[in-house]
Amino acid sequence: MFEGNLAEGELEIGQVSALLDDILPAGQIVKNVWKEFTEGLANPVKML
Amino acid sequence: MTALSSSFRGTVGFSNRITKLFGIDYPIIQAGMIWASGWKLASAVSNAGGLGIIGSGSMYPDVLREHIRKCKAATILPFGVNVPLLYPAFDKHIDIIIEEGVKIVFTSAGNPKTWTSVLKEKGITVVHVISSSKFAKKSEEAGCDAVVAEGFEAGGHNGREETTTMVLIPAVVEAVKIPVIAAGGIANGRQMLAAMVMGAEGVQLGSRFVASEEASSHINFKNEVINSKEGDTKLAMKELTPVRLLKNDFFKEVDEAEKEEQR
Repeated sequence: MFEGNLAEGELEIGQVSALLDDILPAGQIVKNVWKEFTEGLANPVKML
Repeated sequence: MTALSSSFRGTVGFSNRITKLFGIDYPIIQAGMIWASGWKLASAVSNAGGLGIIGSGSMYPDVLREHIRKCKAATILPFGVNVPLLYPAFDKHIDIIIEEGVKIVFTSAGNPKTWTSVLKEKGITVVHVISSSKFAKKSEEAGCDAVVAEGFEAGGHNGREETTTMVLIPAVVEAVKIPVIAAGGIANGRQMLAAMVMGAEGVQLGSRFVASEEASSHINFKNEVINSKEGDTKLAMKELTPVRLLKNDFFKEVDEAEKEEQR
């Protein structure tokens, strides 16, 4: 995981990697998560 | 007014037991992960208002000391160190943590009773990572300030019960009075909201922060992470210590070896 050779060694990661499709600055990740959290609070569920 | 709305005074006015415990703006914690979370990642997360954590498991003691010092130079805000209690010589890590004045420690695996009181005597905030309500209770009894309840979706070392986050969080919230941080499968704000609706007071993200610019993992690994699809991770070495990892040649070898043993 450190050296770049992916065929050998262990690649420990969670299932949620399936939902990820970009590499972002860590600070941006914190901002994005918080923004989505507050937007979700305002509009939590789908309704008719 | 609910407790949540009365604490929520605007974008940076949010407060709850977790933000107060650590002195952070948002109850968003970046997991301490071996090979992936050094001072760069931890300080970037802390500077953004979350809690960054240095993963000490893959570090020699002097390397850990260097990361702690560099992290302090890169952020004035709180950060923590994760200590897996099953790696060799972790007691040296604990000595360094105390010497360098680290204020927040996340311990994982092993028995929380052994080290919690040692750390708390030095005024350090202690959080233990667990995967069952049984161990959540043990952590509370040992004096931990909070627990991370990590579900089966999580990468790395997993609990034998294989309880997923959806089931684990309500169970642990019910079992203890100390704050619960939800982990395992969480990468975005809606999942964070779901975990907190279930009673968690914070979330810990691992994989999402591996796929960051500052993570110390190799770029090839980061690309594997963002290219992976549902079903690409699997538990390996179940008989020894369960570990979730991406299927690759190593996994196939281990898988073959396990199947061979069963014949």
